[in-house]
Amino acid sequence: MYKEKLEKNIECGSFPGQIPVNYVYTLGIAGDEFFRTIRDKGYFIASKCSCGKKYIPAQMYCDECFGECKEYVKVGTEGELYSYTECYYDYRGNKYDEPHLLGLVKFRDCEGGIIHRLKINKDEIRIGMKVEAVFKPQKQRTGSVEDILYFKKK
Amino acid sequence: MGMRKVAIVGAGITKFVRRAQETGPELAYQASKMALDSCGLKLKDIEMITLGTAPDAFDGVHMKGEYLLGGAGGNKKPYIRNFVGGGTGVFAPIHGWMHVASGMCDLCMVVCEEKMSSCHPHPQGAFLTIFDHTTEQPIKPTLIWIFALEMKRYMETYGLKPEDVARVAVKNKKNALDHPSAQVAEELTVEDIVNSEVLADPVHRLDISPASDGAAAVILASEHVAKRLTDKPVWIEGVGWNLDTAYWATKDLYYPRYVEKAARMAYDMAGIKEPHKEIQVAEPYDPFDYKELHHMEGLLLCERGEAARLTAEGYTARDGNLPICPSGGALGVGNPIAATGLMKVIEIFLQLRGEAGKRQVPGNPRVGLAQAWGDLMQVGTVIVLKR
Ligand SMILES: [Zn+2]
Repeated sequence: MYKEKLEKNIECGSFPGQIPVNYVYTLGIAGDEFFRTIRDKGYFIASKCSCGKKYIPAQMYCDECFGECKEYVKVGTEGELYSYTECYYDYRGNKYDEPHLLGLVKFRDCEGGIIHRLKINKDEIRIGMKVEAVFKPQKQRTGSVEDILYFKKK
Repeated sequence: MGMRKVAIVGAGITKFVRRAQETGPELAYQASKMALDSCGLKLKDIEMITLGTAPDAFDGVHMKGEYLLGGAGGNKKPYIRNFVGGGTGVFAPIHGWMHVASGMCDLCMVVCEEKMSSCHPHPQGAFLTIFDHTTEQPIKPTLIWIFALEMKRYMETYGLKPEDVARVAVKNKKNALDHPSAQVAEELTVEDIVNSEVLADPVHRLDISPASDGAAAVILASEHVAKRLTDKPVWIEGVGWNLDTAYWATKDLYYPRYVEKAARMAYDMAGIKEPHKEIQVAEPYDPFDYKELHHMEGLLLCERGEAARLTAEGYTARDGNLPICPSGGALGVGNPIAATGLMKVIEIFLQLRGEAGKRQVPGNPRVGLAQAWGDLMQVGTVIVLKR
């Protein structure tokens, strides 16, 4: 097995560093509509282009024709499980106590989809099944993707 | 050189603002759509796209080029990001020129975007790590300290006073009153500038351009396509770029030799022998007021040490012999880094077409220049346009 020659970084001279910034990302024009609707109404909307394409999460422009998506249409809370995975480690390399179930949910006639946690029994889960978003109670919702608790079996 | 002729045929630019509600891709989309609409093209007509944007740390997104792709119309197209720090905004159309001049395509869109307001508490925090991590970062420099060292050395070399430099800020902020995208346009006096707070001597608050959000885009076309699209193509006649060492301690701070080298490269290509006579309107990069003077000299638009006197005499005013930054520049329109450089290229495009509105310089100019500057005070990027 390959062995690192330099066992400890401290054996050579070094200077510790970091980029001392944090970020505030605006939701954007379409993002504001999308997340405000989740917060206030508890369902998903899509942005719609005049060419007919619908996008979820809502985006300002159409990938197909590059028109501006000026219309927003209700999609609801129900989608279809497009793919899923069971995850064992977090991004720091620590093992989860319980594996995380993650899914990509697509919505009828819409481009895009939402990646989120799933709460579905392992023996019931299958690609193509109908799923439904479960949101936090309205008073706790802030207008973010974390307003969605998980997707469950419909 | 075996290169094809390339023209700018369309342009778009968003408002420059301190804090945009739009996301980066949304800003890129607005500029791109405007550029396409301005010359009657659809995205499907565009064969290739190049995107310019400054460090990822401003927007707070790693691989910002990829992040901006959808808004810049790059989905499922030959798309690539180019980058030379603050010089990116003028390098981006040079990169687009390569795409078309080489024969790779006939229509290329060039998009530049910056969203500096995501970065908290201030983009200076992101600038910290552009410096050498061992020899410079430990003393925690800000970009303003570094500019102050250069500005002081420049002023000392030519015996300039703060007032001599401040006239640039007065001129550009006033010019920007006529620019629809402007963020910090204002009618100020030299006294206002020199009496504003000193941030790092000799740099005053009003000597500096602001942090900004914004985007700009241009459409480049090969000769036969350009002539089909417009009666007023503006040709890219010369391009140049040049980088010096990243160690600012190694360079002559009073004179940007790398800018001169980039300019000479562009002038040689454009057949320009006496730039101070042949360039009729110019947009050198002006993130700080003294940088406009510094760059006029590096671009050989005047003798070394003469730029401040020419500014005082009105030579660089919009109605002067050689209008400099008629747009209002970074000091007046704002400074969303990469978008600023492309805004300058767009200003020359509009000036040469006679479409600059209230900003139009007199004399029907035929030849103009835009320049950007940056990385670690080490890059010059120059483009010469003719009609
Ligand atoms: Zn569409």
